[in-house]
Amino acid sequence: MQRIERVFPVLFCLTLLLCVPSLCRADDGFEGRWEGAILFKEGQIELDMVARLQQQPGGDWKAVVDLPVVGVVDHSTEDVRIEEDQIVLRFTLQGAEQTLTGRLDEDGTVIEGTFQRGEQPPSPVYLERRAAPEDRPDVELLSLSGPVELKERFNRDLGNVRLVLLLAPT
Amino acid sequence: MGSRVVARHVLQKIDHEDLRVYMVWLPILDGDDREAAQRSANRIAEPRVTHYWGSDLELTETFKAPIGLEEGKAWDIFVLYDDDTVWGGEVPRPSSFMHQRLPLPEERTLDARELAREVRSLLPE
Repeated sequence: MQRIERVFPVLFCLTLLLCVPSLCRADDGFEGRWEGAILFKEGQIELDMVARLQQQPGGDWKAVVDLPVVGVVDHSTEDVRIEEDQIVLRFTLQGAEQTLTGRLDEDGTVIEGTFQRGEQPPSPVYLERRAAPEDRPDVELLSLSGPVELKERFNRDLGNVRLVLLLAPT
Repeated sequence: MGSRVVARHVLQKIDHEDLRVYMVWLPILDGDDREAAQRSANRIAEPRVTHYWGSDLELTETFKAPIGLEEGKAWDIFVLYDDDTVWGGEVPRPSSFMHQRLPLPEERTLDARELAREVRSLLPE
């Protein structure tokens, strides 16, 4: 009996040591900036979304959401619930409750789930852990004064399938 | 928005090295300047992608004929070429194209999953 009493605190501490880090890892995994889209009609109508998640000193979570295409920036969420690898995030927009329900993948780099606006059917949502664009290194941006440089590059890349996109940056 | 849809469905899902993508950012809307183009480009950092900033809208005219656009400017377009097309005097006729919000056939409205299928069909096994 005395042996059990001596061993119990050791076992208890060992159990605590084994469990606590895994709990912390699951929660820490959501902290940061997440960028992706709500796939209203996959491949066609995909609404860009950014969510910034931060755990408060007391343990509660705070989230701020951007939906830039519809002019929503730094929109605070009313409720963030995180349990292990699951997240439920709720906020109100134009009087309708928006609910994101997602799961963090094993690598801690992707949240996949659904996004539901009010009573409408849920749409898939996909978010990746990404640094803010202003914090990313600049990619090379070549200057074009007309079609000539593009034509040269296009012909230099002969032998490859080529896709030309003409876009507005905003 | 179209650029990131293409990035998600074409670039992230097709890792073939014989694909080149030219993203030409143009001053179409208010606020479209080189800085905005740089921010948009930074969102799609991929070795097969070359980003350009076009300071004028000449390309929006030169790409009208190949896609059959009669009015307005050719922008928000996604123009696909096979591996042996040469750009000679004029912009060549593409294998296929897609668009957003242009007065062009509705069935060619951007569907990045379909675009990815068309890209795959042109790539060698």
